[in-house]
Amino acid sequence: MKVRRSGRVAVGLALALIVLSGLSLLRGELSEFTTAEMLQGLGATLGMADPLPNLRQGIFSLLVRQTLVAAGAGAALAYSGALLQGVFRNGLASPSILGITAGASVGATVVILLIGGHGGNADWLEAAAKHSPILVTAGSFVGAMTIALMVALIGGGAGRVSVPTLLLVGIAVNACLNGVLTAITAWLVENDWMISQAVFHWSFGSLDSKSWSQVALVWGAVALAASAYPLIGRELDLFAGGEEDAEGLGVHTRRVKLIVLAAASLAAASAVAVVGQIAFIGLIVPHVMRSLTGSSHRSLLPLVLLAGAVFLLGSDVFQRWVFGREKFRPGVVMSLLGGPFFLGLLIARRREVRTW
Amino acid sequence: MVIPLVHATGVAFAYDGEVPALRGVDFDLATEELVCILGPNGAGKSTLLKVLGGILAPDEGTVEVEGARLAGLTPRVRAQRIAFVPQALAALPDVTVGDFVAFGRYAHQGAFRRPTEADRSAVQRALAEADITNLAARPLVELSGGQRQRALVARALAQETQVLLVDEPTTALDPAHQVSVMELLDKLRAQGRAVAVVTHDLNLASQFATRLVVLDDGRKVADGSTDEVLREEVLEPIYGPSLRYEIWSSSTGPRPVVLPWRQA
Repeated sequence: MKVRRSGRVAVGLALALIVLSGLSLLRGELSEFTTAEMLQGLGATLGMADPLPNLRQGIFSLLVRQTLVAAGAGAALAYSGALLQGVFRNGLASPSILGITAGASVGATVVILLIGGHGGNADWLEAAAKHSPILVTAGSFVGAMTIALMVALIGGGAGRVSVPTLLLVGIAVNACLNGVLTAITAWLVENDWMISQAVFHWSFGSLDSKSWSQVALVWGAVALAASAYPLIGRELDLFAGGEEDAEGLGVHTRRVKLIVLAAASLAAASAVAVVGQIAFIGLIVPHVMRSLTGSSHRSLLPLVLLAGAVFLLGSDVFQRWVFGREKFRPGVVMSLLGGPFFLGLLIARRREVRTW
Repeated sequence: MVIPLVHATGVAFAYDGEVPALRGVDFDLATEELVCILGPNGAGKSTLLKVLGGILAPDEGTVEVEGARLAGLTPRVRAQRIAFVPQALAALPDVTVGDFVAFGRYAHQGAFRRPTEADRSAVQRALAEADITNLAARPLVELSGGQRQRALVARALAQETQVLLVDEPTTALDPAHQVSVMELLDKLRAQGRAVAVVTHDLNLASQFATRLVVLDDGRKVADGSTDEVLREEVLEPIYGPSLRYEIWSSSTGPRPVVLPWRQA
């Protein structure tokens, strides 16, 4: 029954995405466009119409990029969460809770430090600074991947990762990484105000003022991570009975785990690198989708991509239409929403929690 | 001489490379055999079964299936030759019995391929063999212990392998279901499969096994017919004195019976 429903849910999400994209393009933080302007601006973006007059086309183009980045980053984070929950067979796994998001932050912060003038006076660093978005992404990817592998090693082993193990490893990893981040920012506030602002700005997350190369980064990572689907979709369903069971059925479990962790890290890292720390999407969206359409990854993974895009773009559009100017950064909003959601999840599963 | 389907020599395995569970075990399994692997807790029975199934890689020794080294096979090819029936499964939410049995077709399917007619008929055959066709649409979590065991066997049958490795199939079942599950395994053996069963139940083994293998502390200490193995001289060094040995008549002739018996 749930299988048939997933088709309808997919259509609903696709329609929601189209409507939200339209709303997103009509009203930015500082500007509004009519429907006619929006259509002309879109045509011009695709090279099929004359650009909007004066600076309007430039402003509209910013809005297009903001829309694309929000949808792409939401999809990436939700997909990453669904993959991690599948491979750890644990609904409490997500990039932020396992510390992968914080790992990406440390990686990105270190890169910002280096190309911001704290890596010595090497010429190559100065040259590299011109490619800062790419380098910050690369740094955050390395950070995310390192943490993903570490978590897999510590919590992994042959059997199911127990909930307390997972949470404790996550708490410990997050504590370590936050310690490093706090140390860096504390030092920066004293010694280099400009760079500390850049780190701060980055860490709260932002969806506006994105370049086309950042749009390409997020969507490239989403496309690459999503292309792993034929190699892992059915396999993750077979993981539900345990890794040994999946191995017995013919699943190459080590390869699948590696692909899943790589895809989850790539998606989370690129999203975090471009929009900053936006927590909890990876936790919330897969949960909601699983309760709607069942836990089979073959339908869950594609739906989660759509739903993540709808979720982050929707909350950004909501903010712009209701508050006008950006009141809170998206990372702050998600933390405000996500913390209570996480708590609610624990309370809803309290009977299970007591037996831990 | 019967050429074994499964041929293991000198198999040694230690968990985390430290705790030895198997210390050099030879094991053969031929078609139309139902070999029960016996032994006290911690003897290495389940470990041996997992090594034979390629789920654990042995530290020493080799396992061959149909003449091919297990270590050289991809998981997919291996799962086309050997099916492993685990003791129990984690609860799988919203999976029907039919879907669950279809999981057994994984090794026969490519990445993009949808279930073929061959897949569907294999699943139907497996459900019919295990006598659970009427349960196909039911959620797995609603099944009783005996039905769940049959679903696990059916999934292995859907793999269409000659070799079936079954880990403690009767442990969680009431006596009537214990017998019916063993009868199912015996039927599959008689169809030409090679079946190895890990069990603690000496008396089910006595009635259904074509051969018994006894492990103790990671070593094989007995390998022979039920009459040869289910004797005080063989079992007392392993299980201690608290067993009583009898011979009862049965439909297949006199059978050795071993009962746990109060000592004092």
